[in-house]
Amino acid sequence: MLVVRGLTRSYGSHLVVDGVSFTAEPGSILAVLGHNGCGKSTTMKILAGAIPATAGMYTVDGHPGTSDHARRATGYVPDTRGLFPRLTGAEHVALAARIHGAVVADQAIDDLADRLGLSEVVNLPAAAYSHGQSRRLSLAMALIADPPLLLVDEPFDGVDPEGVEVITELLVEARDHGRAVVLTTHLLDAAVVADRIAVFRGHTLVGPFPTDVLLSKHGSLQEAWRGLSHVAPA
Amino acid sequence: MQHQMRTMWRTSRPFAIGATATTVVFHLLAIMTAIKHDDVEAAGISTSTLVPLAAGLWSALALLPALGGGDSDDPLAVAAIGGGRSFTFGSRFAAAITDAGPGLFVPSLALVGAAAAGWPGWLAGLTLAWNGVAVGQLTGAGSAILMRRLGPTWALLVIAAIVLAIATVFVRGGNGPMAWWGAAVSTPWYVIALLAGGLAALWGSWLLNRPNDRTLKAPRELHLPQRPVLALSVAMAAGIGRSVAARSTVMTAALAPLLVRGAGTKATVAVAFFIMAAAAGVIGSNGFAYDGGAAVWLLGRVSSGLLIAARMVATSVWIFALAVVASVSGLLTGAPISATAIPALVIVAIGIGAAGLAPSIKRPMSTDFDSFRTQAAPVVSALGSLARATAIVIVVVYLPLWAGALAVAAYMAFAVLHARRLLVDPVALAALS
Repeated sequence: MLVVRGLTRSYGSHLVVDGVSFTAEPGSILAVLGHNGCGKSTTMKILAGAIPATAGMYTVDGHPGTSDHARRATGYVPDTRGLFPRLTGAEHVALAARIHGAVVADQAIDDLADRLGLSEVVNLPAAAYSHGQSRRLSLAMALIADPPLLLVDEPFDGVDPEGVEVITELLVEARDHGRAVVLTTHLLDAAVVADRIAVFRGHTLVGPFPTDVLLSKHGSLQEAWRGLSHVAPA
Repeated sequence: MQHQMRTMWRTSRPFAIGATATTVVFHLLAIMTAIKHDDVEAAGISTSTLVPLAAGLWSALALLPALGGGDSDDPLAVAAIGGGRSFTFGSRFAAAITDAGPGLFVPSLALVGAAAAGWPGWLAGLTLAWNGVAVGQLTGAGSAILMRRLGPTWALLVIAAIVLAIATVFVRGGNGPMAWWGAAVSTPWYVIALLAGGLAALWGSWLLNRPNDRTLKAPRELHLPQRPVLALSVAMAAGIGRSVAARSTVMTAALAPLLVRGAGTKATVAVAFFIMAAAAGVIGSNGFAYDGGAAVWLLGRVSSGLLIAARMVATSVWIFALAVVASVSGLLTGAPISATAIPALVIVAIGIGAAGLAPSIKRPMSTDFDSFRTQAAPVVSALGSLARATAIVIVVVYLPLWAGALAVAAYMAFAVLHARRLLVDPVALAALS
């Protein structure tokens, strides 16, 4: 579904993403872990088409990443509060559906809002949403058109435990329906839901490794994280 | 208050330095004018000639906060929800005294006073400014309450009617800020009355700053077209139209000609400031944002061509609507507006829409749609957009219609191509949060 080869991004002489390569297969969840500032969100922004890569390439379903086909095939949840302050939640989801070219009934929007615990606020402006609610709304915008590839940047950031459970359920459901899910997170506990895990070491990516292999080798994700994420001294 | 000042400094350092320097220069100018008043008087400048200017400056200080809906759109006010009365009052007052507009109006009033009457006029100008800032707090707090009770559109209609009525009564009755300033210049004890009046207004504002019981109401449902470019245009236009600041700008555009008609030409200076505020609203809304952090999501979801097209449609339609409102209001007051005004307004609206494309990508502001007044736009962007918008208006007004249309079309083509080039790597826009 998603093939990434040698993705690199720099701002002048400042290297932010260094030769990242991985694949994401349909019906799988890939979790990408990393320290603050390692380039996770930059990588996701490149794959979502928000900013270009300095070098490297990526394809979505065999099509170049910047093509219209790739855009329509990708659902994206940014790490920031990517919302229009004065549009309601329902309007956000409807807009996302229109942009993806999907025809979606109002009932489908209400059902999705209900699943994500947004029923009480779905008709209020997004400016009124808490951080956790805005993350859930962003996920609804990504899910509404049922895209084959989901890029989810820090989905659990600022979300309460109940919300983490709901979001995890939806991501697992998307995987079980054959979608490729790539998520970044700081929450090691939440990363357990992934089939494979990749870790940023410096600004480059190590892995991905099957989650069960990591757990059996290191005993816990915390140990795996410690082992994989630190740059070895020269 | 400390936080307000720190925030202002951080978000707009060059603008703050420039505004502070200009304020200091104006104050020094006022003091020097007071010292050299004899020379100024010899040039024929007197109290009576400067009264309309003083009244206009007071009106801007006292009434613009009311027309802006208080802080109904201000993101910092949202942060104050749950804050007590003193906190809310303090944050609003701090915002008022650190706002560059009032910051310049205060020394301007002192300068006007010094030019008119030397040191007594300087003192009268400062106290009139104090009175204006304080009354502005009262009207702003009252406006915010009306917003919550009546909703933005009805509240602004009520406020506009009140402003019109008061202005008419003041001017035709020979009362109001013109008379107060004149009295303060000639009778120094009246300065105390202005000071006391200001204190009373501040106390009233403090009383009206009740703990924030603000609740956001569900807006009227928006029906998005199915085509992506139309859906995005409608969404962006709704983002503008639902803001109190945008509705206030429309109200100001309608009110300005009516004020001149009702209160006479002496209200012209006050009206000029309202028009400035409305124009600042147009420039601000056009130039500086894709309505908050939505830009990050949009960049990854839509092509640059669609993004530019949707933005052009949303901002140009809104600017055109604003111009039509002002023109209709002007027609009602007898302004000589010809039939060619409509196509000319369309061309101007498109041109001003194009003028803001590049700044909105290069130097975006995430919250300028929230409040045109409390967010300082990047100085370079503000000046550049203002210069381009002014040039477009001049070209359309002074050239034959066909030539103006051609010129704006050529400029629009350049602006769109430039914007597309900038959207290849929109680093600043992708970093909005």
